[in-house]
Amino acid sequence: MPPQLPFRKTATAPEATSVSTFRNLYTRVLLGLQAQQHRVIGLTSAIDGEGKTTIASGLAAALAEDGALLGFGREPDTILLVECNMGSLPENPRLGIRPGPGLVQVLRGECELDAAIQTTGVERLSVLTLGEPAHNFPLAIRTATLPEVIAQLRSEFGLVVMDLPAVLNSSDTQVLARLADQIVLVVRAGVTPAKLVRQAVDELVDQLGEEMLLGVVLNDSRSDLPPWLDNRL
Amino acid sequence: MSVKRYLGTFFRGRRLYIPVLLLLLAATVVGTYYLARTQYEATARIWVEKPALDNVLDPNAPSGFVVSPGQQQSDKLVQLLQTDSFVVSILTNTTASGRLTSVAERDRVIKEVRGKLAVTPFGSNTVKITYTGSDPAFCQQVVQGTIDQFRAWDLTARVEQSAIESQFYQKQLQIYQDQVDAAATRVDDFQRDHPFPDPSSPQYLELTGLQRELESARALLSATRTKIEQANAANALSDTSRQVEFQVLDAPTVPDRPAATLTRLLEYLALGLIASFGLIILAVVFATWQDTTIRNGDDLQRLTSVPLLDEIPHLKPDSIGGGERHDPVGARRSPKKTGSQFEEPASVYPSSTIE
Repeated sequence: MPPQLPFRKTATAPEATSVSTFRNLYTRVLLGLQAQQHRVIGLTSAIDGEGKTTIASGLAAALAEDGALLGFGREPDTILLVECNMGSLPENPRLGIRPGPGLVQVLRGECELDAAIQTTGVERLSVLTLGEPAHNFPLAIRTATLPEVIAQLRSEFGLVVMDLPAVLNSSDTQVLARLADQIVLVVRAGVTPAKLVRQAVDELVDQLGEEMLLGVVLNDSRSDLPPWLDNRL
Repeated sequence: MSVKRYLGTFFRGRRLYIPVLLLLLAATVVGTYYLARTQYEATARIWVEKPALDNVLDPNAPSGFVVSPGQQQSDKLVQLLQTDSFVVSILTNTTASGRLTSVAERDRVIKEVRGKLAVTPFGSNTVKITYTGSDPAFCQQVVQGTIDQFRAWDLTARVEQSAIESQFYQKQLQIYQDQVDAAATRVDDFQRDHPFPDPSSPQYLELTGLQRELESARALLSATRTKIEQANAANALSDTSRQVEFQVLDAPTVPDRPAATLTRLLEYLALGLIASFGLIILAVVFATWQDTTIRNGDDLQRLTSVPLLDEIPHLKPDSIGGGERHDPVGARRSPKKTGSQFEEPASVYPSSTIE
């Protein structure tokens, strides 16, 4: 009897590391963005707690990790993760994020953009944190400075990943999402009610247009069925 | 909703459903064991015959006997058991007689006895009477009481019926006797006035008519006398004939062992299994119906036309960038195997603090 490979799904294989997990996602995202030279992608969700920061971080890290592959002979792309969601990316020694100025300070003119961008432990991945005080963020993003900052980031990085607030929880999303080229909606399996997902999609389509919504990512997806049954259904 | 969704609900809540199911099944087994151990059954079988002179006494009865004697007597007994007076008469000579004093208790006992007493025809001439209860002596007493009361009722009913019939025919006999006497008087009077009427005369025709009336009245009188004789004969035969018509083949005895037949045990178990699984299925269906969340890509595709980019499995926050995935299945697998299948760096960007 010839040896057979064990059944596994690419995205849900238990052995999958995050890079391989997110490779499929970023490939599809990049296919949607390939027509543009500079790319800004925003990740949002219907409500808080759906894992948009997890997805944004994973996507950015995977893109940075595979940057050489994306370069196609050019200089590998650099990736920037912009934290636009209050309280989502706190300090982490392993990540190497240090307390310091962030987007709020840049928008308020208290700090230079380059000084606010932090390199991380991952090659080619930088992070622009939210900064402090976070409660000034809603006011800060509603100034003319924000589009200029994003335009500058576009020119400096191969891809900018914006971790946006939830669509149905904050009107900040409407302001920030317009600066992105494409929006990805994160839905957490088993958590987000279908009604809220539909509401979020409708809102994004109404405000940004259907072409802006690149697609949906189902986070925390797992089959509740045992493999022997799942394979048969 | 698809079967997969229902199955998903079950397996997701298996830590709840499976213990509940096991508890229900255990309760079924315990219940079956308890019922089987504490339930006693007293049974009697009675042989019944069609009454010997039924057709004679009741000439209008249909000649083709459609209902079997067993069915007929069984129907009678079932009807009698629906009356409180009959059930009370059964219970009078049992250990439950003391419970008949208060109305509420009496009604309760009657209801209980009705529920546990079964009367079924068994073949064309046999009636089976069964009582199932927790007290073996009481079971026997109820069945014996039922037989006794039914027999007494049957006897009384027949005696009363015979007496009524006899009275009725006696009255008929008197009427017919008067008719005969009157007809004979008329014939005698006529013959006295017209001793030898000419056959061609009108008097002769009138005499012939009177004589016919007399003969007709005598025939009715004779028939009535015959019926009275038959009724009397039936009464005379009653003691012996009833013994033949109503024989207790198997008298009820006090059961010495619980009535735990394999069939009954299987019935209880089957009912318990069906009820247990039915309850779990209902719970799963209800939980699935209540679950309005998105569970998989199919749900998303049904909801919106926006393309599904990918399904990301459940990840530990610190697994972003190549850490170990938080997956129970994956956690059990060999790390060596993991490394050989996915040639990825161990860590790209660890973060334990993302949402």
